[in-house]
Amino acid sequence: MDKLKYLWHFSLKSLKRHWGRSLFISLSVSLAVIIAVWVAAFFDGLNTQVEESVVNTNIGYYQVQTPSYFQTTDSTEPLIWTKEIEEELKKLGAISYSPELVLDSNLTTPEGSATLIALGVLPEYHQKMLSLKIQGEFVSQSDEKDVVIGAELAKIFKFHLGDEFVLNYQDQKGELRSELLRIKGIYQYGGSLFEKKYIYLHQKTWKSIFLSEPSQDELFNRIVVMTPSLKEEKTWRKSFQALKLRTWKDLNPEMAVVLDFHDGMINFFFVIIGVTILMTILTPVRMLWEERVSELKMMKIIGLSKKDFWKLGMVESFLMMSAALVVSSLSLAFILGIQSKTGIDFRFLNDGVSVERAGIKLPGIIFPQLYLKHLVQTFCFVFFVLGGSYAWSLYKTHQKIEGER
Amino acid sequence: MRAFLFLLKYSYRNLWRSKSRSLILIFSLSFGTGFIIWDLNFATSGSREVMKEFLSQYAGFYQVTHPDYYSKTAKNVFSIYKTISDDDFKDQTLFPLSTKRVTSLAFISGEKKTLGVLLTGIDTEKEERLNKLKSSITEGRYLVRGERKEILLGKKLAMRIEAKVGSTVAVVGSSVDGSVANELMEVVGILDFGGGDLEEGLAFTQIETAQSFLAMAPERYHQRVSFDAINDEPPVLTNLSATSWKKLLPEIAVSVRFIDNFTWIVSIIMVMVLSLGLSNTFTITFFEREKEFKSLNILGASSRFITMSLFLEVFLLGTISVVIGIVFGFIATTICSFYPINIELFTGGKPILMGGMVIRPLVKFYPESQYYWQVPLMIYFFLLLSLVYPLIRLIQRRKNVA
Repeated sequence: MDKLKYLWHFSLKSLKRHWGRSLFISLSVSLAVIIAVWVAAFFDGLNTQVEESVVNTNIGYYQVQTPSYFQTTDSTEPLIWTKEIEEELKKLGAISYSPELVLDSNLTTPEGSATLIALGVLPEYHQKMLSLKIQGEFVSQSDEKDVVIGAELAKIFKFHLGDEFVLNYQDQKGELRSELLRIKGIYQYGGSLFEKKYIYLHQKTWKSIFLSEPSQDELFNRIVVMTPSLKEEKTWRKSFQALKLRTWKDLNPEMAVVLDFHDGMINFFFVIIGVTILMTILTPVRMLWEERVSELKMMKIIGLSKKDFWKLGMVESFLMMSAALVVSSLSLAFILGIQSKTGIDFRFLNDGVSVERAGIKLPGIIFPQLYLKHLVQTFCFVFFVLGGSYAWSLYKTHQKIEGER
Repeated sequence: MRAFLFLLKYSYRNLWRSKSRSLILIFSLSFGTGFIIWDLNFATSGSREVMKEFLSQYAGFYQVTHPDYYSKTAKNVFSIYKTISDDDFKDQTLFPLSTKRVTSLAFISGEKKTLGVLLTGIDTEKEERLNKLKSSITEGRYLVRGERKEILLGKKLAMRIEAKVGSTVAVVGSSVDGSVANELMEVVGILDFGGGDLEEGLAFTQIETAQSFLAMAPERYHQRVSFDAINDEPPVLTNLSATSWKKLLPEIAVSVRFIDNFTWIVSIIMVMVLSLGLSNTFTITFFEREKEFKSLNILGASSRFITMSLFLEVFLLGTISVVIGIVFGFIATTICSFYPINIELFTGGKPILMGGMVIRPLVKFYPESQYYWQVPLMIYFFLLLSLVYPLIRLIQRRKNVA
């Protein structure tokens, strides 16, 4: 114990002897770690926001679909929304959910044509899931033939609140039908494609215009579910074997690949920055030990064993690592703590334009996210760079001492 | 001149006094230089190859249309009434590598559903020669020339309207004379874009069928799409409008630009990290030699001489590293121009979906000459910066000693 204590003191004094150099090495490693982990945190923030942009449309983290809707998006065989299904969703940890009926329809006016998806929703569920900014009112039980449309659709077709338009579609029997609907509300949400494509009806209205026979039940073609993440995907899949389950990644593969691509880029960046900093730190650490060869040789004569030599080196490297870790962790916590609140406007990279991909408007301001994994990454990085440099330098120095003996 | 030569020799010898240290420094700086050159070439070639792959499938590099065909504010809004013909082109040199198209929004009805699509009438033989549309057909066959009322549907679209090869679908739209256009067409092929959104939004027919469907004269069409990858910038035309893919597909252009800019930022970060490490090493090296500098002063060497020798030492180290780095970068880039890199490496083997279609780009490098001088300049700049602090410290110390 005393020996170890002595080693600690000795190492600390050795580092203090060239405190400027020790500080510089620690700072170099810390700065590289801060940059690397900051980039990872930035991309994690971006990925989280991309994910949120996708799921906070009508996609959700999961969609529980009827088998016919799952296969061909066929809406003609909706199922009954039961308390059992709702209980199951709650049990699995769903935050909110919305049973929906989906009707592919279109609109033709002198201004042009548009393909629409008419969603039959139950407002008490839907409004808990998606908070649309609405001019006018959202659909309700008292609706007759009322509809809520997107601002972009209203702009293109010059629609106003209270206007009526003809919705064309094929009903449950496959017959071509047209229905006159009154605009009750105009919502603003998401990207222009979203606002152009989706219109909302109360389930009662939806059933009255689509089904051949009236139904008093609450129905669904799909249930859109919000959860904290996709972590419990396996459990969800097991629970819904009769019904079909799709994740947001299945429903929007283009954006899912964007996240995979970002992850791949970050890993690549980490490796390269790690190798680069290792190369640049190696020299000063090597010099640090090389200039102590005669001193170490003397220590060897007075009884320093090979084991103790390595112990000494390791303790010194541990002290350096601790310093680098403390500096980088605190700096990262400080920088990311502020930026995760204020965000970073990165639209300057795109000449002020927001990215819109696969019908999803991506965020212009990114809020970097500090996760526990970033601290683990910080630790691994420091360990790899400083540990590697020290191990190599100790090995070479030891060789030199042995050679000179 | 002799003094300078002496200085050069002195600095060179100093550099090799600690061989292994200098070698490590040279190696790290060369590695950094080589990697940055490779990385920038990768980013440029990557964007170019990804876009080439994407645009050569269907979209084309630019479109020539009637000036009022596309809305001035939104390029996804167009007017089918604004048509052009070959006679409108004063310069027809772009004809061999371009193809004409007729496009219209239409509704396609299957047994249970009617869905909106962008129906495109294509010159079947020309398209076959210029792009990869035909290779996306996984079921059935490609279109046969003439007004044969055949249609190709995207896989998702076919699935949703429950149509198969051999099925007949009803196509409804508006014709250019203001009447309702409607036609029965036979599904002859299914297009597989790898599950992207385009599978749901596109349908193709013969240009002759589309012209007849829209009640257009046989010589009229909407777009002339260029697939000329070499002259990919839209020409300046007086009576017609040429629109680049960047304006037609802004979301793709913006995404590509983001990745390009990000690569530059990563490169600058790398150089900064490198120079910080180097600055660290220089500081240690210079402090270590303080005694030697004092002896030189006593022997009559001026402070200017010592400072100059340090500058030259760093300059020599930088130059050797940059030269090796350039060679590294060049070799790596050249290898990658013969053995292209699969971008799927970054997605764990998953195909990349872009603009609604799957692309499998193999990034073949096209070395950009500008990086071979831009990167060294950047390295020299940061090397100089990394010298500033050690020199200040050195001068301060000397003053204190004095």
